[in-house]
Amino acid sequence: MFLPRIIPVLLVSNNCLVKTTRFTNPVYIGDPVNAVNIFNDFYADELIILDIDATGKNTCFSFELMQRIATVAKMPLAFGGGFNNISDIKKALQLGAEKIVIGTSWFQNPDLINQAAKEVGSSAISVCVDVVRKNDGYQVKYLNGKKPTAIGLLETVGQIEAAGGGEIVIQSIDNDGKMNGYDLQLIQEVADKVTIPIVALGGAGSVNDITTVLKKCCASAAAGSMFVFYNHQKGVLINYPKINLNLL
Amino acid sequence: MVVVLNLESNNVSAVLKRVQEITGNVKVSSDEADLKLATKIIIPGVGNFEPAIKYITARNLKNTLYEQIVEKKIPVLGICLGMQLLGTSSEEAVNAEGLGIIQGTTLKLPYKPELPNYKIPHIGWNSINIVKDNPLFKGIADNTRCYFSHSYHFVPAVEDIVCGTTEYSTSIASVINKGHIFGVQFHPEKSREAGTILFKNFIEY
Repeated sequence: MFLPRIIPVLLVSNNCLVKTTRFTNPVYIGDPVNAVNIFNDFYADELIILDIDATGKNTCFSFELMQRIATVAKMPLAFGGGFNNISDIKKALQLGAEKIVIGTSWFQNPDLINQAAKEVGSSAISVCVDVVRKNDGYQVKYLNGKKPTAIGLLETVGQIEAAGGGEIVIQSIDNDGKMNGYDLQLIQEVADKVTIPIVALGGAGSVNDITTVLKKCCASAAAGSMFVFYNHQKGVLINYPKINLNLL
Repeated sequence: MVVVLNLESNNVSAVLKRVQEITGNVKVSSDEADLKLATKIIIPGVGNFEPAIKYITARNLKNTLYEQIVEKKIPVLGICLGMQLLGTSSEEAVNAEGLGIIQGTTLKLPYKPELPNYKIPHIGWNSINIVKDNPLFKGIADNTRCYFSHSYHFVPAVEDIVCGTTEYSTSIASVINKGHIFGVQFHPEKSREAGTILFKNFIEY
C-alpha cells in the first residue's frame, strides 16, 4: 500500500541548522549532519534541506555540505537554495540528492523547470511555492517571501505542472513556525488544481495537524518546527513522531 | 569488479555508497574499457530516457553493453530509469530507442481522477508484492515497502519476467528478472535494510 510521506524540512544558514518564524528570526538548532543522523534513526520518510541564504547571496547550496549530508543520510534527500542552472542540478543529483527544490529561480527564469525536467526527469524536480494570505485570497511570493509575483496562486501551480515540475511544496509564510496547524484551504486549493504530488508546509505543530492534512488534502506533510522543537516553548529536540498511517 | 554506470545525471554516489558497504571492488565509470572488465553492471536511475540514451550512444557504449550483458551474460541490475533503458522504447522519448536487452516498453503512469491520492509522479514508500521467487529478493519479506520516484513504468513484453508488482494508479512491474538480468523500479539505494539485502543478493549472484 502506498503511504503519504511525512517530511522534516531542515533550514541551513552558514552551514548551521536554524528555524525561522514567518521567514524571519532564525533560531540556531545545531549541526545539519548530526540532525540527519538522528533522522536516520527515526526512519524519516524523506528530508528536505534548504539553504535560506543562498538565493540572497546569489550562491547555491554548498556542495561540500551536501556531500557530507549525503554520505550519512539513509533516506531520500531533496536539496534547495539557489539552484538556477542545469549543471548545478545535475551535480547535486550525482552527489546523492534524489530531488532538487527550485523556488525563486523559476520566477526569474520560467524555462528552468522545463529544461530541468527534460534533462533529469520530472520526478527529480520539486518546486517550492511560498504563499501569503492577502485580502480573501492568496499571493505568491519569491526571494524568501520578499517579492510578490503578478500571477495568481492557481495559475502559478498550473504553470509548474505544465512545465514538467514533479512535485509542489506549498508553503504558508503566515503559518511558518507558528505550530498552529496547516492552512488547509491553501493546501486543498492547490491539491485540487494539479495532478502532481503536493507537499504541505507551514504550521504543523502536532500529530493531529499532520494526519488531518494527509487525510483531507491528498497531500504529503512536511514540517520544520515540529521536528526540531520539543513543544511550543521551542526547546530544541530533534524528533519524528510515530504515526500509524495504516489507520488513516 | 562491479561497474556502476555513470550517465552524468544519475544518482551514482548513493548507489556507490551502498555497494561499497558490501564490496570494495566497485568503480563508477562510463568507459568502455571498464565495462569490458565488469563482472557485474549496475545502471542507476534518476534522469530522463532521451538524454540518458544519447549519453550512452555518444560514448559508444550501446554495443558494449549489449555484448557484455546479452552475449557474455554479465549480470546487470537496472534501477528505475536504468531498468527502463534495458527495454526497447519509452513514451518519455519517442525518438529514441532503448538498449533492447529486454523486450518491453516504458509508458507514462496514468493519472485517474477517481484516485486523487495517486498523483503522478509516484513519489514515496510503497509495498512490493512478490509474485515470483527471484534471487534479488532472497531474504526480503513480501510487502516490504521501498522508495519510488518515477513518472514512467516499464511494461515487459512477456509477463513471466515480472517477479514483483506494486499497486499505484496501475499495477507496476516493480521487480523484473530474466536469468542474469534484473530490474527494479524503486530505489534500493534509498530503501533501508531491504535495499542493502538486495544489493548483496545481486553482488553475490
